[in-house]
Amino acid sequence: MKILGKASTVALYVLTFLFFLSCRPTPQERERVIIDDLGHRIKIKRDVKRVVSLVPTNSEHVCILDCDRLYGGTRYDHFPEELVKRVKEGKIKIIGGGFDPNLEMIIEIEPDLILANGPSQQRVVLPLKRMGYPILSLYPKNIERLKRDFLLLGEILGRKAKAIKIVKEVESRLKEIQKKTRPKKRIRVYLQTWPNPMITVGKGSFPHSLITLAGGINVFGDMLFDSGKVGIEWIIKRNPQVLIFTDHQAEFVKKIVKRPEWRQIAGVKNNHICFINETFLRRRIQFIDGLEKIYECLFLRYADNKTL
Amino acid sequence: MTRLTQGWLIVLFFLLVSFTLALSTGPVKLSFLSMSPTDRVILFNLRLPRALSSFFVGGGLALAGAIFQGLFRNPLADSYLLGISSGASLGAAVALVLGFTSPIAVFTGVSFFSFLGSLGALALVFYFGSQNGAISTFRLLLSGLGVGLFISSFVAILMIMAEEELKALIFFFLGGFSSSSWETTLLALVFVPVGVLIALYYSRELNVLLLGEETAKSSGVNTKSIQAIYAVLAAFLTSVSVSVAGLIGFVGLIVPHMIRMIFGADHRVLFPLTFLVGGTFLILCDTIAKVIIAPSELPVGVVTSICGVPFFLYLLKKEKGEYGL
Repeated sequence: MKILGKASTVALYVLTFLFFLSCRPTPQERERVIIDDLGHRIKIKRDVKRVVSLVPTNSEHVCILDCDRLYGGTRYDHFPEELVKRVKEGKIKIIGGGFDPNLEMIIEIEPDLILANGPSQQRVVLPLKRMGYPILSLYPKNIERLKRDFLLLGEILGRKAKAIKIVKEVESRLKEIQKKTRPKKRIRVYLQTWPNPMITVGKGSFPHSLITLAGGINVFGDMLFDSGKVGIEWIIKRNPQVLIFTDHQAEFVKKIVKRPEWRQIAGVKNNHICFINETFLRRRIQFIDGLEKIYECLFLRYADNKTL
Repeated sequence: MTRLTQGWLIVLFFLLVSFTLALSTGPVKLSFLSMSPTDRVILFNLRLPRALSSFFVGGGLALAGAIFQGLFRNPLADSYLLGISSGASLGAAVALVLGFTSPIAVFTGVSFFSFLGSLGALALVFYFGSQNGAISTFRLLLSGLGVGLFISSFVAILMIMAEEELKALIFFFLGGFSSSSWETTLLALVFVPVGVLIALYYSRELNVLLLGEETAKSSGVNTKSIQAIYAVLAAFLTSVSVSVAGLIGFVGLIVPHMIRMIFGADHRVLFPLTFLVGGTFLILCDTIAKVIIAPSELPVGVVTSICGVPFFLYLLKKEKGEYGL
């Protein structure tokens, strides 16, 4: 009886030990392997706590999901307000810009994830990569990829449910817009992002997708580059019904609407001109805000020049 | 017909052809016989000022290059010598990045401040390049180098501060006429012809000067004042061009050499021909820039190099005689 008791105690110990052993995460489980938008295989901790972002949109995404985990951002980060507040309070450090980050500051933060964007940043992050920091490049080419990247970020930050909720909301608002635009005739749109020289957006660009989804046709949608310089004569030829300018161009627009060459354009003649803040055109998960504004400009209130 | 007369005829012929081409090429097909109001606007408000702009800017840059090469007796001298491009770049960068606008309504911030910047740089270059009121070309060259490098570092600082303005700044560096209107053309239209006349007026003296300063002095040429007049003139022509069209490389360097290879180094011939060929060349390049990647436009500086360099190299290889300034 005594022996049996002892044996059972030992067995209990062994079992308990085995139980804990099985519970202790194996190396594979403490890390996950991800293939990012550039096709790089990277290993990331299961519970990422300290993130440094080298891209404003990535900073914004992290902050939306869990601002506590963002420790370093760029000097160009202006969204959301929470982020700006935290920068002021010193909780988020400005590590420089996307092409001139201060590597020492980044190392001091001891991040367990660094977010970069496309090929252009790879050279800057190379030293960090060599030192073994996990660098995740999020470089979504279209809205589908953007949503996927946002969900991935949610998963990495342990905020999967929140990410799914946000993406669902974006999708339903997008569906709403598409339902409204489907019966409508598409409108020819010219979007100018810079006045002098005049720069507009082309096929591969994000604003081009926004215009298309909002029920418009980008009149320079055949331009091969993301953005390029155009002459006024081409704009006359393409004859857009609506002209959208980023909102720092008010002076420029005031001048051109009186000019005879611009008066040849339908949108100028009908004064169907809108202004939009450049941040609404960025590759961010809240792109739906910008999309709705463009829709509003195309189809709703356009009695006079509107800042969206 | 002498070779020179033939040359003049060929140059004028090409000028006529390129001008016609510039006026008739573009996305909108104009019916010249029965013009609609839109056609008229396109021709008179867009294509005509653009063609004139590119003609006077090209001519001005080429002439400035010819003057600098003669003055400094240096085949590598071009119109952007003497820190002009750096000064202009700084002005453009200040206007773009810090958002300064022009106090004079007809100019854009970029063209006003690049003009101001280039004149400011020139003042510095001439200050450091002169000794006791006398300008020595050698000193001027080194002073231009120093001031230019110094200013460029501030341009770099502004470029780092720039966000979306960077692309506009790059377009300024590469030059172009896509936003030409009568207002932007005005500056070139007024100042470049005056510059050409001044350059022609003193060209005999410059010829004498090139024989050596001693010879020039003994034949009664005031060498110092001739040097000063030409240096200021060429610099001013460049400043005007830059503020109209941004930085357009190559024209000021190569066109004078082409003319010299074909017609020799007499400045009385070199100056007018260089001016005309420079203008014609830039009209052609701008027309190409306008259509080659339509609906977008190439910066004209890219076209000047791609089209001009091969021809220049061909001439260089073909020219058998002793070539020099």
